[in-house]
Amino acid sequence: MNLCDLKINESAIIKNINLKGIKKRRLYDMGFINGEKIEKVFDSIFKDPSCYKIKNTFIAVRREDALNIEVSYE
Amino acid sequence: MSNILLCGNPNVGKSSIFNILTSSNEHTGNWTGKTVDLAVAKIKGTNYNLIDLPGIYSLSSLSEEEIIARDTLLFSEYEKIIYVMDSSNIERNMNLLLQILEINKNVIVCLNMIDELDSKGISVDSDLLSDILGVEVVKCSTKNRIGIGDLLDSLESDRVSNFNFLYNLDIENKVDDILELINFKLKNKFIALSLLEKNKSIVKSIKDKFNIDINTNEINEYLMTVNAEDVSDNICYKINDLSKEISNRVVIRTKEKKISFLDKLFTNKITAVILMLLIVFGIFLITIVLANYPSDLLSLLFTKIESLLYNLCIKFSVPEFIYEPLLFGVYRVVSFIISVMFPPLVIFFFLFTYAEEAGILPRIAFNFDRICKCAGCHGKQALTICSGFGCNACAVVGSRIIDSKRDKLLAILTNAFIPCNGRFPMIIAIISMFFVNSSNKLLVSMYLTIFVLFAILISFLTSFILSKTLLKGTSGFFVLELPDYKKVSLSRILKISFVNKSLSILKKAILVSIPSGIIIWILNNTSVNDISIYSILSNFLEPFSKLMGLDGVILLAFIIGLPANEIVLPLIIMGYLRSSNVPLIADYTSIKSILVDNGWTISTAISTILFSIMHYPCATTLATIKSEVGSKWMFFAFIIPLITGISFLIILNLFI
Repeated sequence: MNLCDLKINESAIIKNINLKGIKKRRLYDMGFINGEKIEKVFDSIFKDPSCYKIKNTFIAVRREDALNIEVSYE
Repeated sequence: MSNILLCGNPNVGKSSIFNILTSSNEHTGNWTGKTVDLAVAKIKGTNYNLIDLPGIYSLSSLSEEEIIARDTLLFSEYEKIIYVMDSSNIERNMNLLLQILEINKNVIVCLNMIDELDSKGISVDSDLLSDILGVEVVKCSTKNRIGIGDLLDSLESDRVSNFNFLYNLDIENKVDDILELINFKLKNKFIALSLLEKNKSIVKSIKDKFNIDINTNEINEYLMTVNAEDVSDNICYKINDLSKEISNRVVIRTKEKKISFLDKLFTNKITAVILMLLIVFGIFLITIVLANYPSDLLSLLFTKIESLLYNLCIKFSVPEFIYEPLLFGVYRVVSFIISVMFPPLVIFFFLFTYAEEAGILPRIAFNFDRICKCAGCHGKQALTICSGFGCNACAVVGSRIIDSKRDKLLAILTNAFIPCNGRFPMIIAIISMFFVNSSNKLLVSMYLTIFVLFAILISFLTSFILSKTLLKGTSGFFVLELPDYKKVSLSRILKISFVNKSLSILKKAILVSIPSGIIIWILNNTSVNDISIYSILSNFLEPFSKLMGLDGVILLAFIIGLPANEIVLPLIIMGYLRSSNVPLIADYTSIKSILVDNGWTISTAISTILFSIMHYPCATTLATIKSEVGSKWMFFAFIIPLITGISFLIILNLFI
């Protein structure tokens, strides 16, 4: 499953980031890294991007990128 | 005089620390990359210069700001680094600190917003943090001015961190190998790691700065065997694990972060749309209503001063050819710009800065990213659009917050469609005269909102077309932190918006309008066969203008109004009155009768408003574009809205 499958208020653990180069590094820098707990907190008005809570901060990610972030329930 | 660097993540209050330590007025924005130019100022009562680095999340050097920060940390001379952290988010903030400690160990950690910990249910053991990292840790709050003295005292400490950590054996071995191979005076672990990650920007920086190619054949050969992606992953994992470990030791958290009420409003489809339309409408209404009084007062004052100056000129028998162009050309244009533009500008930027400081703008980018993506541009373009309402030149500078060059260009090239404060007065005047026939502010704001929505639509449409043609491609990566809403001090905002924005824009507008004041006067007062050059030019433009539903006088006013949009309306009136002086603008009724006498109808009014939205940006904006992205793109920024406007109006007038 990936990040997009999460419903609002649901949380999961990041398993893998299927992106390369700059995008992956950017996500790492923002705290999106394997083993990290992540929770979907709200969608934007057009449902994309969505906002996730990670390391206790709110970070918005587009759907196209969230699709490449593998997660699993705890 | 030695230097101190100020580093930290975005939204940790770095600029506030800078302002307090140096008593300056740098503007703190609530998003990444606000500080692109390095602000430098002397720390009060010391011999140190404080250099404010851009707020960044890491030194992986993928963005302009990260490169600036990294190069300053690596190559410049400085005594110490003050690393500002958000006390309530030690773990995430630790990331960058660990990277910085690999470059320089003269670090002072400043735990900012320490007074907000109780309400957030967090406690931080700062002594333990200090022991672990081997650095001075100072607890601070810029809001309530806690710990500033301690921070100043800590500058005198000679404590140097002894903190070290190791990556896995494989990476450490590779680092040793690379360090052997580097023949550059600055050899450190950070540079070695960057090379192993095949980071091109560090090679470039060293080449630019020292004219040395650090990637020698030996190094290149060695790097052939290295999987950069693996190295990069392992570095990130290690730093992340370590940050977590340190944070777990020093932080006790009893409450989880909750979604705030405002975020619920801003992300619910119905309330968000209503709220945002209300905000746009409200900002215009407030601006129109409030700006009226000071505007009237100012223009009254300027008229008084003018007659005073006139009398003085007569009294001291100053020759006509000197005082006429100065008084009836330059003085009137300048005083018109000040009285018409300045009050709304101040009000607009007050509201805008408030939204910026309170943390509302990232939410706007968040909500509009979807539309932006459809238009092929970046979500942050929603922000440059917002600041375009104040001043297009400011929006062009503001486009620096967008990382990718392509996305930045899209934001710049389409910003001219957003009516700025220099254009609003004319649009509002025409709406008041031809659409509502009254001074009903509510109705005026409503029509204005409609035109503004149209402008935004055209701006996005142009983005879309450009992203399929001139700037092919898809918008860059979008990850955006939505920081907590902040309570902001109104007096501070007033100071920032007035001094940093409004006054500096006004100054520019006045400077460019002085020569145009003289040109206008000359055009009007030089005649060939008893017809002024102004009339000759407007007659010449007449046939073409008719195609667009305008007339020669209007078009000429837009052309001469290139330096500043504010003077277009007075120029139009001057053209009609065939007066040789810039007219004093009286009330709407008398202006309307002048316009109607010269053949204005509702369709002329619409065409003029639309042309005001869709023509070239003003001279100041063009100059800013040139300095930001070069003259080639300045040309496009000039021609794209102009062609759009001309073709749109010609087609429109075929049908009405």
